[in-house]
Amino acid sequence: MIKINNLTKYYKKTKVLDGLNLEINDGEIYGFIGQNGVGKSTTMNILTKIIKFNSGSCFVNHMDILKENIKKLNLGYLPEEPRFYNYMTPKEYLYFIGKICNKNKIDLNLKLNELLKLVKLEKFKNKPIGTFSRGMKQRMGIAVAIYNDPKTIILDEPSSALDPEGRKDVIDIIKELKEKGKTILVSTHILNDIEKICDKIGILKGGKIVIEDNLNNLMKKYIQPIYDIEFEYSIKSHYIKQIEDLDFVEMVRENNNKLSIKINNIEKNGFNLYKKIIDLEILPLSIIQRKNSLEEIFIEVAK
Amino acid sequence: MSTYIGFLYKEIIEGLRTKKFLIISVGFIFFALADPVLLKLTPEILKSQAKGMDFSKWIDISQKAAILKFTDDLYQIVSLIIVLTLVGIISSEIKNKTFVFPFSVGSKINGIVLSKFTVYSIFIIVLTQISIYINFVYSKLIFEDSNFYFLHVVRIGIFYGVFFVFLVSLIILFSSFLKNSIVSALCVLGIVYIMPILNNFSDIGKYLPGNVLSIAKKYNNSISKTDIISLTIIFVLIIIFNYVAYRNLSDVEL
Repeated sequence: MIKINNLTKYYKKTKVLDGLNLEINDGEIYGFIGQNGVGKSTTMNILTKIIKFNSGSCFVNHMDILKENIKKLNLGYLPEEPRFYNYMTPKEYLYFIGKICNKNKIDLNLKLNELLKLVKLEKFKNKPIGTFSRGMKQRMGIAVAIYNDPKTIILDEPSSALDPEGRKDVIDIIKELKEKGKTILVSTHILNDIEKICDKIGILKGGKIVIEDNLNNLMKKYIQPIYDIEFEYSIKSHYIKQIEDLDFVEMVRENNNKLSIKINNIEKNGFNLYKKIIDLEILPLSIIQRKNSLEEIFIEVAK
Repeated sequence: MSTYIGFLYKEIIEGLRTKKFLIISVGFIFFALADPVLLKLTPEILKSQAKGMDFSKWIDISQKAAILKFTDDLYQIVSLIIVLTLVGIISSEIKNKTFVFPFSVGSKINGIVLSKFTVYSIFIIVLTQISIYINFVYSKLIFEDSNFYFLHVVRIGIFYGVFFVFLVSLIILFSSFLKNSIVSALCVLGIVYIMPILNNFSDIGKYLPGNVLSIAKKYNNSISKTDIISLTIIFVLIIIFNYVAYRNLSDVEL
């Protein structure tokens, strides 16, 4: 669980976070999106106690982050660009992390094998991390983030700079973590990934969350009033004229045997459009209401 | 404690893999072996430059001179090697953001500072002892006049060891608040090289850390009251420097 109330953060005189409010329930995956420099990483660094904040309050797993140390918060963190000691091997690095976490030798070995298997780095466990690709480092970072089996995990751009296969691996790991009931806050620029995994989405702008909802509701809210209708043959021009003449139709665009029809007041007039098409006896092969992708919603909100 | 143990492990691996241990060791051992040879050869070299002159009467060519020459090099050159090797001990970790993961799993700053101090202090103390014994044994083999007592060598080893521990704590201090390694190195070296000058010009110099080098070279086994005060001050400074480094790091945003 994560709860942020009225969070404010200044870098010198620049206000980066301006009364940010956010709430993530247990077991939820929250997609945190926003343009570069809008404060996503700052928020994440505050939650992990890496940087301080000016005002407000933050709770992780029902604990005030100012009152508890990071170990007690039961939190895992993958920074945007995970940095390791490049001369160490994954085995040595996880051993080092395990020592900090006060694990005994048996646990250290069990954890090592379990995590390296999960992030598919077993074969490379004795190679220096410095020789790893960005994707491998990202997976190594996930292994460290979940080392302590944290209840809440913060992932900052986990799939950025990865090839499609690497991205899929990361998405699969996140899905696996969700199945285990973890609460996850994830930021990414790759909105397609967020669509695949997130229960709730928040768009950060001007240091605040400007839109927050689940993906279905967002799609409904930002639905486009356009129907794409496909017919078996090209539509004759007099039929198109009759559709254009309807008072609720704003625009009709023809493309071979397809019509794109923009209407006003979609809830009321969508049915009227269907009715008119049936009345014209030009039965369609398919009628699809055009949906905004998350990317289009994001661009519209971020304008 | 877990942070301390974790970082001890990390620092030892780092020292080995990044060749820090090797570079410092080469500095110590090279001068331990080279100084007696160079001293032995000095009259011969000078003789070839000015024929007919006997330089051996002007220059002290003995085991004692070889050991004292080595101690001078320890202070002047090996200190420089140590500073340049360890100068980014904390600042480079902040700059490279390598502290982020350890902190995210609950590392404590005091454990980090203390582990770095422990690893390099112990390493340098051991190396000081080893190198001074190598120098002692090797110079005994080279010079006929070998009447330098072993206890004096032990004394030099201990006091130079203390000085180098002070140097490590000074490096940790500057590295905790100066991001630029070059500036940090210049500050530490400035302090190190100015200490003997202060030692010569004022009474306060007797109580400054640089005085342990003078104590080390005293050709007797006694320790005066001033020496004890000087040693106490150096130990207090070591504790203060490490504590200030810990406080500095606590305020740093990683």
